[in-house]
Amino acid sequence: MEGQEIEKLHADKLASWTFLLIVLTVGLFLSIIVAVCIGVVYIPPGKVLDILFGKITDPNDPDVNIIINIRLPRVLLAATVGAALSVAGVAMQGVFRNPMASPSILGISSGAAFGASLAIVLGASFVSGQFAIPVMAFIFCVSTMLLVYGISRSGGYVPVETLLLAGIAVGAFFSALVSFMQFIAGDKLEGLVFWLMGGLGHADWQQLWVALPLIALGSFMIMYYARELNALTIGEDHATSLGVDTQRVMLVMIVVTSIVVAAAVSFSGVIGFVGLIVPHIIRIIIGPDHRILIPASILGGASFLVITDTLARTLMAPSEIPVGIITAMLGAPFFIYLLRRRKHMMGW
Amino acid sequence: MQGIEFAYASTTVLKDISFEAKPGEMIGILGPNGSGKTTILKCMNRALKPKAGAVLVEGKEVAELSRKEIANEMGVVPQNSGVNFPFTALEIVMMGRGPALAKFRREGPSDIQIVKEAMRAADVIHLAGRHMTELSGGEKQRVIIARALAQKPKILLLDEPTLHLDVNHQIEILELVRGLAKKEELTVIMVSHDLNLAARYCDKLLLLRKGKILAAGAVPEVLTPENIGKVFGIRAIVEYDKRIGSYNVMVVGCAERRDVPGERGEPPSSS
Repeated sequence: MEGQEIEKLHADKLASWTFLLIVLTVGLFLSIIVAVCIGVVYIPPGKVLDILFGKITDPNDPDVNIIINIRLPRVLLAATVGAALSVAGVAMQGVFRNPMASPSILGISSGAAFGASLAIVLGASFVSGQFAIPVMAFIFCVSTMLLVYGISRSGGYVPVETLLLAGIAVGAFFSALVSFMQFIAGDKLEGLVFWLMGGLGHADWQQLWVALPLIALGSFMIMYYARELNALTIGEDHATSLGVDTQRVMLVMIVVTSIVVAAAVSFSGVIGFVGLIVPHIIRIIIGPDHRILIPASILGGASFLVITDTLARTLMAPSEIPVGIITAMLGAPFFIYLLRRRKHMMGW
Repeated sequence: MQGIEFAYASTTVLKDISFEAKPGEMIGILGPNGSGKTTILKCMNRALKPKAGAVLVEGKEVAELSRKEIANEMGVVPQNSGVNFPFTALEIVMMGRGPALAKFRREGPSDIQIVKEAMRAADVIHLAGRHMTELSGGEKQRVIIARALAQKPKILLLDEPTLHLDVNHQIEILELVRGLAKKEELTVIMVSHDLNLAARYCDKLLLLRKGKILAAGAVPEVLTPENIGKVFGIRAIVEYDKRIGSYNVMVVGCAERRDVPGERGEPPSSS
């Protein structure tokens, strides 16, 4: 292989990145349209597009109401939450060089669950009204992360291994507290269990407008550090020699991902496996470069949750399966499959 | 001309380490495990912050540079180069351009040119499209060296570059690095375990013992039987071998009760 081939290799890579992004963007758009069409009442795509693009605005048409006020906010929230969980997974796996890293491994999902369970079972919250549960989930999510980080820090340095172990320990502690809350929940048990299983049944525009900016900003921050994450995946020594302030990147990534995760799970409950499988699938397709991995996981994760949420609300309609069950039921077998062939594909 | 002065006075690891390296010079840091070899390298590129003392590159204090500025001065080949991700060799070398690029900037034609030169210099251009996971230890090491070169550094730091390599690859790597030092006027500082390879390829040596410099200077001044005895507790013969044009260290055996004065550095005749 000689000189010119380097340019070709590089150009081919960029071309495949562009191609993947186009495919995923189109895929996301299509899955959103299909998801909006399907439901208790089927609305044909033609009419859905007309409504979405404002050609039909008749407020007396029930379909307009269904789409604009019920399905669209739910589908868009599903896309946002899916994107958030995936991008958080990418960031965690990159920073910790650990294929199993996901928001749950730092204990932050358990923290969020405990916050929500306080609000659901005891009615204890810093705010009241419809945001009581999300606000509690958010506060506990972020403070759990700070706690884990604080425990791991010694002498201005945070070793990755300590951080992961601290995350597991703190996560186990909060899981136990959540179990205790279930034990004493009484008639609130159903609501709590439903939240813990995750679901987007209560989605509305207001939730979307709260979650979306936080998640968009966080995703941008993670994207901002794409090159640093690349260097970190090879190893801390390598990253340092490539001009990366590893400790700072780690802190920023932990804070940002916990905010992104908090914004997502506050409204959707704990939805497992999205942050684990989506980044792994994308990695198998396009390789480990975070500059493509991050945007591709955002798009792929968004489509994944739109599709699984649509399954959740249609498979056993009119009753709704918690989407967390579907993602886990798809996720676990897939993970086993990955485990079987990771030597070749992942290097992990 | 660059003067690196170095002192690090933490409680234990390193004490009063000072030395100077010039462009085109290859310096070997030798010593047993735990003598602080790697720590010196890590202090040089501020992976660790020395408690006292300063590292100077062309008169600038490294402590006052940003991480990226340091990366533009020094390329590092860390000890464990086991890159286990399916990055291609080209992608790895391209990462060397990262410190010089602004956020969100893609590598331009000039970066690709630099990467090409670096890969040619390290003789890995034929591996460009291969995944790191498929490469041999020696090939991986050369890719990492190419990446360090792509940073366009003035200084190259290598931590045990020949560790775990077959003997042919050891020679290959050191020939490569020495060639680079001479051709590109790079300052090379290398930590090594191997006395013979260091003697053969380095211009100057630094022999460490318990975090202090026991001896520093040209090869025959540093690698004396006496010094080797003090540091490693062995009896050795050091001879100039004109067949390889370099000094050769031959281990004779363990020094019996090496702490007893007078028994250090037994005369070679005892064999």
